[in-house]
Amino acid sequence: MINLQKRIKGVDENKKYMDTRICIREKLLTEEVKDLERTLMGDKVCRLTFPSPGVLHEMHLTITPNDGFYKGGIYHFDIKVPAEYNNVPPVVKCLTRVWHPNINEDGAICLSLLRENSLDAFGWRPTRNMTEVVHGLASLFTDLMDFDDPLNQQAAEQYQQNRNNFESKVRDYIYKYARQ
Amino acid sequence: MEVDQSIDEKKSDYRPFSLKRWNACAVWTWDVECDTCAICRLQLMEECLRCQADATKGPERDPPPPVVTKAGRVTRVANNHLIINETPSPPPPSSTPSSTSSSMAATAGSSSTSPSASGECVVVWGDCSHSFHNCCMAQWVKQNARCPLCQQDWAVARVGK
Repeated sequence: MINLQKRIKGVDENKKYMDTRICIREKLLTEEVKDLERTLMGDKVCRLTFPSPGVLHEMHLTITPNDGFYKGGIYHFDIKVPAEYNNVPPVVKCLTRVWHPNINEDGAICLSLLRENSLDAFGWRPTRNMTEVVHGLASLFTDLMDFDDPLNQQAAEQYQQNRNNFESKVRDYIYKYARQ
Repeated sequence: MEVDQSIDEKKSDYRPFSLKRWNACAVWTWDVECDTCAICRLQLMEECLRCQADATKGPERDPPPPVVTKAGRVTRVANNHLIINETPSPPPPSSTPSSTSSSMAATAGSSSTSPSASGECVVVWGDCSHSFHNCCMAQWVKQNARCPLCQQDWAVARVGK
């Protein structure tokens, strides 16, 4: 909230607010990343890296599904944690082009726990953490795949009409875009 | 429990046994489901993450008065403040060093009982019996008026320590 009178006097309330929020985020992430790295130790599907050293709120996630339609593909995700974390969920973008009912070709992801304003129990809540996000993203290639509530309508329709065509298009995309 | 074996059967108030000694045992727990705030993941008895973040930055802008929490322990802020207080104040010319330190302690003791704004990080209980820091919950309720743990509609049952 911006208070105009204080702004005129040169008091930037927003900056003070953001400083506090960032401080909270850093403290939460320090603990969460520690847990997450422990859980991902020896995990062959998910690999988490930090592109800039010392910056915890920008992560790079690599998922290599070992089962299902997407086996053999290598999928890269960019995770950015906003300053208002954990009142708001992390922002995730898929960097690899994929033929998937819940990920569109621009990299937008439809995953319930990443939804900020959700009316059901599956959306984001401050009790969730980064480990849930990473596992949620990994499951998107296996059991969380949802053809009934699709983001990529065409992919979902193709699956419903002809499963073989869908599967071959997925393999085609893996061959073209998801090999490294 | 020891049972009295020597029963006088001739007495009119006949008792098969009488209780000579007993030891009572009691167990107690806090009336909360868990003692950590699920939002900021800190102990409910401590201040929330937000208040702690504000407190660490606070002294540079305006130093808060010494704080004694309701549990009676002196917080870090209070300790810092005591150190700040002791250095600049010159000792009274007539007094000896030992009497100076005792008068300082008296001053610190009296001022530390005064309430302060940073001691107001309280706990809130919902009707669902889940508890959080009031500050943490106030932030979340603005977004979604349901308990983050059980998804029931959030209604405050009690606020306090």
